Amino acid sequence: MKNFKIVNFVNVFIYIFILAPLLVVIISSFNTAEYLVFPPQGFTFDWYHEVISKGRYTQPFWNSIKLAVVTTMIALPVGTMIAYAISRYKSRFNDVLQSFFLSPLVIPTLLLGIGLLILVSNLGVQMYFPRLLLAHVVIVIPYVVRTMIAGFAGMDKSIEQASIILGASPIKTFFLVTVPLARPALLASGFLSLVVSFDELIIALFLTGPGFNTLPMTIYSDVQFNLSTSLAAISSLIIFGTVLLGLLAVLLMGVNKKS
Amino acid sequence: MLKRIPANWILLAPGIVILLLAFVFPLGRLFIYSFYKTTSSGAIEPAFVLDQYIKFFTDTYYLEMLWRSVYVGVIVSAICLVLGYFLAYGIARTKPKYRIPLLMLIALPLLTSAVIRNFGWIIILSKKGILNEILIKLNIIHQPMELMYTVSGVIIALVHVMLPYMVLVLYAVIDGMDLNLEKAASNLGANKFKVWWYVTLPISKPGIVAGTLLVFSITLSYFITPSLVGGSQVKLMATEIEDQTIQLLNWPFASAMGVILLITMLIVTSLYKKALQSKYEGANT
Amino acid sequence: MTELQLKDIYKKFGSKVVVNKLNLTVESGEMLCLLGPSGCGKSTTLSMIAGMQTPTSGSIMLEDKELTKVAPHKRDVGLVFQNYALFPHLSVFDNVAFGLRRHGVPKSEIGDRVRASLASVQLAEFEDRFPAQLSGGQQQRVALARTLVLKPKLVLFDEPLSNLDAKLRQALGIEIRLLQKEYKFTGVFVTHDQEEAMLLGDRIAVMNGGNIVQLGTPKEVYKKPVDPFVANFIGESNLLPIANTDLGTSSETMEITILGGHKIKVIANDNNSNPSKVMIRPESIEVLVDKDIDSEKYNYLTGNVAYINYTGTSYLIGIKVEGIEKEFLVRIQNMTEDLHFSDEEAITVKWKIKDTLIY
Repeated sequence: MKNFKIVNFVNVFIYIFILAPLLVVIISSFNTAEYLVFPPQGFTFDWYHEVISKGRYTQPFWNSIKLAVVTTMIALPVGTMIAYAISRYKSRFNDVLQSFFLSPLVIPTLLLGIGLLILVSNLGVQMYFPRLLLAHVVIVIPYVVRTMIAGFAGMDKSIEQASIILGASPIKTFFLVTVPLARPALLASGFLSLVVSFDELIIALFLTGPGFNTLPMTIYSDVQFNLSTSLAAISSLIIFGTVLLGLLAVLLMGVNKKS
Repeated sequence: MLKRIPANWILLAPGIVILLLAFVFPLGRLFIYSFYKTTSSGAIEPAFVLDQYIKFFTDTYYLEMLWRSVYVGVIVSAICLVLGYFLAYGIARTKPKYRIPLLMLIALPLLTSAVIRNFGWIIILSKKGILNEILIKLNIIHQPMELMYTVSGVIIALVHVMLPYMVLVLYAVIDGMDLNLEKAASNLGANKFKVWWYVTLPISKPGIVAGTLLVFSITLSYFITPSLVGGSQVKLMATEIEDQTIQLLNWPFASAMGVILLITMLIVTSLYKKALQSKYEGANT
Repeated sequence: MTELQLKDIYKKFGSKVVVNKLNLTVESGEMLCLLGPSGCGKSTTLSMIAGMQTPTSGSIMLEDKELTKVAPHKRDVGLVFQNYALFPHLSVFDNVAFGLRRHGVPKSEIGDRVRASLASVQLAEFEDRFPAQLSGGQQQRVALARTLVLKPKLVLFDEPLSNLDAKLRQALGIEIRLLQKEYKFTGVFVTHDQEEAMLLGDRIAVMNGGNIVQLGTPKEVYKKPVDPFVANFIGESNLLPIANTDLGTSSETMEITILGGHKIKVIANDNNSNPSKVMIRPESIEVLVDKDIDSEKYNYLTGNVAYINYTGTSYLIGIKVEGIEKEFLVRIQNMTEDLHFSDEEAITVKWKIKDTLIY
């Protein structure tokens, strides 16, 4: 038991280390001073008010939301179809296919960024949104494929067979049985897809230009050149938003388990 | 008559098209560009020459940068391993009802934007930051430490970014371990440390290998932390590649650096795997 | 009338032959049990009839209609699974209504048919529950209702009782027989449990190594197993290796020497002039109490008691016989008085010559 306590003691410090940067950002966001100074001068919600009402982060925020949502709308069905094909059909290519679809996780995003930059400038694609969208879909697909393969693997195949035997076509079976049963995995995939896409910075640095900024880009440039308290406020809002979204996803999955 | 296409290929088709178009093809372009020529005026000329690679390997500036990147990757992996093992072991051996909340606590940073986390580290590490203020107030130091724009600062922030990956991989292995093995060993008279050294540690080896490989691979090409915490003073491969691409527009050289980075990653990881494997086989014979 | 016919069914997975040129005819309204150990090809055969797998070659006919070319969801075959395979996200009512809706049954009809079907499995009160709220036995009855509500001609059972405990297994087995009388379907029932097969099957097809080894009524299969495998698989058996066959001792019987030098008489069999094993069912053996020896009618064997177990309905005695490695098993049923044997005590047993089978 004694050693166990030493482990716990050390772990308390590691947990502090893990949470410190997030807590520091959140605490800073309530500071009355305009620039980040410690200890805080006072407590105020003013910076949140400013961030929400005034423009600096508004447009990038909506750009990022739009990007994350459209990315998810494409990557979720495409990734689910891939995972379904790999999990439910026997093929000697399945191992190769799985590695292929997971490989964007292995290859550094930096390289994909340069490659795509070269490609789009060769092809003369000027619009920033489609450029980013395509790259985001590629980055997100492996998360969806991996989560959905795990989801399908945990699902009893005979339930789908029962549906077919009872007269439902394979497509009907997919929508009437497979999708409802895969709901927890779909929720997890959707959540991951939204978060990964929303937070993606590197691709945006390479592929976008004047007129189209994503929120991580704006924050990135402000962290470099403009460390203000309103930056802490928008960052805190993102932290809260991610946690809420995560809790919501976990909650919805829990509900599904009970019935 | 057309032969019927099997259903699974119809399901796979959209994914294959997207990945070919926006993944395989761009990476192919990158590879081809790494053999292009950059003229003295900075223009890019299609060619098949090793100019970019020669430039990289004949300049100690770049070689030192590559070495620094590998060094940071190794140090970060090692620190993450130690800290991650403590955490994963602690979670796996705590009461089941605490496990999920603790794992979520660790995964939480993974899900919040890395830019924001590094922002937090800047607040903590800067010259007038929290850490220096506290340490000076406590009379532990008298002069503020220089952590921002140093390799140490980059390593601290990188460990924070990578730790969740390590914990999740290690936890999966330690949690799957049969607790009875540990009980059996202590019944046989081994003390806690010996039980851990001879039983727990060897069994968790696959997790250790997988975790360190994962952390090293991600760290080597990680851009955000070196850029924000290291700035222009700590030049690593990732930041230099970005510089070459965006600021200097020397795409062939950036491409070649990218290819070198990828190959370095493959070489280091396979050497590491090989070293561990031969040790394992040696122990067996 | 022939309902289902399997002709030369052959199935290979890679280079492994799982079902090897299997032929089988199932008559209308009968329940046929496919019985065999795991890996004998019985489940693969069933899933080929259901259409979950396609035979490498051969054909499956349902009422003279080629079934192999019909998509699985258009076959009108029922299938009851081992793990129930209910839809966990649908209520009991919706589970049973699922097939009706897929077959375009009018809404007005669905309610009545579902309720009638649930009533026939004694689950009328449960239509609003979800599968997770039911016991294993109840879940399997819902699965039966879900299958039978479509009134399929052919119902396939894939070890539907093996996840249930022993008592429930028998009760539900009998219920399935009664449901068959009510709904008049033809059944193919796959199991590895011989008691289940005896209880449910009009006929039993014993499978081994991808083919049928014996096909017959439960009585035929039990009384006259065609080989030691079937004998061993169905019921208990004593298999004694033969050392030496002495032919022509008499015209009707012949004498055989088994290992250990014991002599045993068997009915002469022209078909098997060179047998290697003798088989005796433990329950056809009696303990010799008086000293009446009738060697024209009986075989005798003497050994020492290794153990004696009382099971409530019978005694099982294991006897150590010289020269024979495995204990010789004797099962004594319907005892009017208690048996008293101590370990190592000498014991002589007898059984009818006609109950001695050779292979």
